[in-house]
Amino acid sequence: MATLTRTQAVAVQRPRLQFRISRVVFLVIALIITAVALAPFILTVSGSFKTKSEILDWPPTIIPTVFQWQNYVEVWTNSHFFPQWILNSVFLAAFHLVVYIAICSIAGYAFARLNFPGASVLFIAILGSIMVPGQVLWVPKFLILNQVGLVDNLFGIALPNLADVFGVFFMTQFFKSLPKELEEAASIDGAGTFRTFRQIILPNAYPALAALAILQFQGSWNAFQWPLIVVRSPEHLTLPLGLASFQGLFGVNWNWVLAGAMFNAVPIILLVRRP
Amino acid sequence: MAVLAGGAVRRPSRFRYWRQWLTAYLFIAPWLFFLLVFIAGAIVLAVYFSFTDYDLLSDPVFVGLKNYDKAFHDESFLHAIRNVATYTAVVVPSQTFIALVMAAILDRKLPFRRFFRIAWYLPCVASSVVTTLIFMWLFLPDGFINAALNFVGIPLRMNWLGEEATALPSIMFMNIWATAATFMLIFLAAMQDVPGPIYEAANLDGAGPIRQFFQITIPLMRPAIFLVVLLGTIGCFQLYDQVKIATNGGPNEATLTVTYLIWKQGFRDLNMGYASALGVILFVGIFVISLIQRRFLDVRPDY
Repeated sequence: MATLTRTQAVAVQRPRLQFRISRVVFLVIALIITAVALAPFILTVSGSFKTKSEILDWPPTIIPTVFQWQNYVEVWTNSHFFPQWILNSVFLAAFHLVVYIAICSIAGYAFARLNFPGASVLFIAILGSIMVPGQVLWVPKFLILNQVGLVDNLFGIALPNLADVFGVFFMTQFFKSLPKELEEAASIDGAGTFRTFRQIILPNAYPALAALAILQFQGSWNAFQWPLIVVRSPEHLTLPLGLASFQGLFGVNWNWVLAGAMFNAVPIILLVRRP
Repeated sequence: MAVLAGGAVRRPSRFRYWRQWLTAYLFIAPWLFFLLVFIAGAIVLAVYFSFTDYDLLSDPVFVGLKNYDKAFHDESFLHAIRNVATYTAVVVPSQTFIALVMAAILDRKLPFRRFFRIAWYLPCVASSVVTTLIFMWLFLPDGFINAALNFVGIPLRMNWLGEEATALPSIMFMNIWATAATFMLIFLAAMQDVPGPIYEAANLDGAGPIRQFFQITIPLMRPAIFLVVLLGTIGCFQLYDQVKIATNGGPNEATLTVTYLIWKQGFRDLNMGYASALGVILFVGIFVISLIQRRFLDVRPDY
């Protein structure tokens, strides 16, 4: 509402011509930004259909002269473990979403609604640990996994990610915003804490859970730093790690990179239409 | 709360408190376990190992402050700090400015607003691995960046990521491209929170749109600007993905960063103790910079 009245007031005040000019200028800038933002993606899509030699031609072509699916076929069949990498990434994302969201929602509920000694200290510790950059913990986390034999194992990627504090903070804030009367009614009807949580609170939390799920999926699907440290063997790589491994000792296989990139980018772009 | 515990009017007994505490701890237990092991425990271990020499094969040896002393005499580490400082000094102001422009445009009633918003946000959605690989291709001597420059009349065939002078600026460009829209969202939310009546009052006083932007919108967005600068700085200090994938710190350490050095020392050369010390220094650095920024950038909006 506020924006509406504001623009109307501005429109009335200023001379019409000046208004038009500023609009055109803004539109031109907007189109330039759009071109810069989208060009790399468009060139990748077109590049993924080029022949191996045309990908590196000078001057580069915007539209492939020969349009072919060969790169997609090749990346799927010839490039070591490509289907396995996709499976690994899907497994990690699914595991993370289910377990992480379950853990964060029950913990968030406890912080928002239950009184227990140490709650405030723990909550401050949560906020404090956001300050610690992930790279500081690479070495100790790796050494812990090494002790329990989870190095080069998909669970070595998955388990440490469950400690991420963002989800608990997010769910706590959300549960605090729900009206208390919901639970009071349930408790008068004789429901215990867990039953209240499962049958009354969770169904009301779907929007927050969905938002958290999208964010976490994006994080898990795109993750690079921590998986790179944990896994070594080619069959345990995730899709981003596998793509990064296409550029190696023997130069870069650009046709595999461009076609393979689509397998990572398309699902995430379809799923995350956040803004 | 008494009602919730089931005690109704009667004085809640000690047993009821215990029960509630127990329930609460059961609820947080799974998460608390992972927090204690992989964050709290890991922090303690990081500090401990930073005082030791440890190569994974033999037991850690306590060496006191040796690793820290070594860090500040390590040419590579000092080089990395200089690179990160240059990188931050360029990237944070540019991405903040670009994000502000993007938000200011989206805040107007332009046609295709929704399309612009989705299109501009795409670079933030894609994986850093994918965007880095794509840019490596675009930055090749035969790539589209050179082609675009030739098109506008600058006849260059640079190997952008392979030359000492242009490698770091290329990574700067990549990263601004990839993250500006995240900050745009923060700015956009803050702009839409500025109360409309303030603009109406400014209109009555005869302030034009440019003056309104600089004297109303910007001052009222100070908390958002602080947040964007802080998050941007923290992100820059942690620059890693692009360096690891595209340049491996080269050529000739031109793109070496602190986080890349942590990886190299810890996981390539197995100097786990030294890598931990570098990590602790990085943490202290980020912490101090946050405090300084908080002091110098006034967080409160002026009303």
